[in-house]
Amino acid sequence: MTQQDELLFNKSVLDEEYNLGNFEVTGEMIRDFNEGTGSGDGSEAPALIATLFANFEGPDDLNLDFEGFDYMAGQYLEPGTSVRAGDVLTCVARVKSVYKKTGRSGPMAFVVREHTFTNQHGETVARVGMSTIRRK
Amino acid sequence: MSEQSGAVYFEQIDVGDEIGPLTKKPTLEQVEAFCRAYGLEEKSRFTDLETAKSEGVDQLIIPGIMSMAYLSQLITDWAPNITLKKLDIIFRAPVKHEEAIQCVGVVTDKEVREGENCIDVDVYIENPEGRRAVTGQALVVAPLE
Repeated sequence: MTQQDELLFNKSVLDEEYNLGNFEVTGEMIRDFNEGTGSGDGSEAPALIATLFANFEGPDDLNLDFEGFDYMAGQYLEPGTSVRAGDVLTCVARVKSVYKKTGRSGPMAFVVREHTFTNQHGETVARVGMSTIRRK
Repeated sequence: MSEQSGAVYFEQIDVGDEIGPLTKKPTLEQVEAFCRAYGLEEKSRFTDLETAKSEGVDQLIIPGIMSMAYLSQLITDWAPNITLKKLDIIFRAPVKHEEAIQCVGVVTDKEVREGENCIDVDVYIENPEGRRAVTGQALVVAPLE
């Protein structure tokens, strides 16, 4: 796999924080999460649930000039305090890097993002890093 | 410290110890529930075969975050008194619906770092063909006995 020619995107977004928004965690969401994974019960969820809000696409002005479908390449989680139904999580994200590689299936664009989630009390719920591959 | 049921302590853990396996066989209903949790209710490559095929995937697959959830569960089910500090994974191959997958951890290091009793664990999800579809590392803190 080799690094290829430069990928076109808005470089001014690199390392700049952007607000991904506020997300209310509902009891229904926790129930669906637990049903889906076959883990846990009740109104409390692991900090992992914050990863559901981590986003494949931001920021709006990334302007990545590469068409295709996005897939997860990697992810990390640093869990903080647990999450309860009714909590409102605020997410601040940043794009750490954007690069292009060519593999057996052709060219791919990689985007690495970091997200930090805090709850309404200002406590850190999770730091989530996400690498995505866009390929045709 | 009084002993908790199922608890494990730093002194009891050795390099080479295995965690799990945690066996999962994700069903369409479970994947649909998981997708609902993050608001993905429309057809997607996770729940609709035609959509999956249109995106170059020949079978229904589970969301990457669901694999993350399985490996997180592997660690947190290990013992009630340990703390997961970090889980870092790479998606190497899709995890498909109705495949009996095994989530496994292997302790690779233990040492005190900045006053914390740290345990490093290699984690992976193995599919029925023996391929490691998801691999990664977990950092866990365990209390002293």
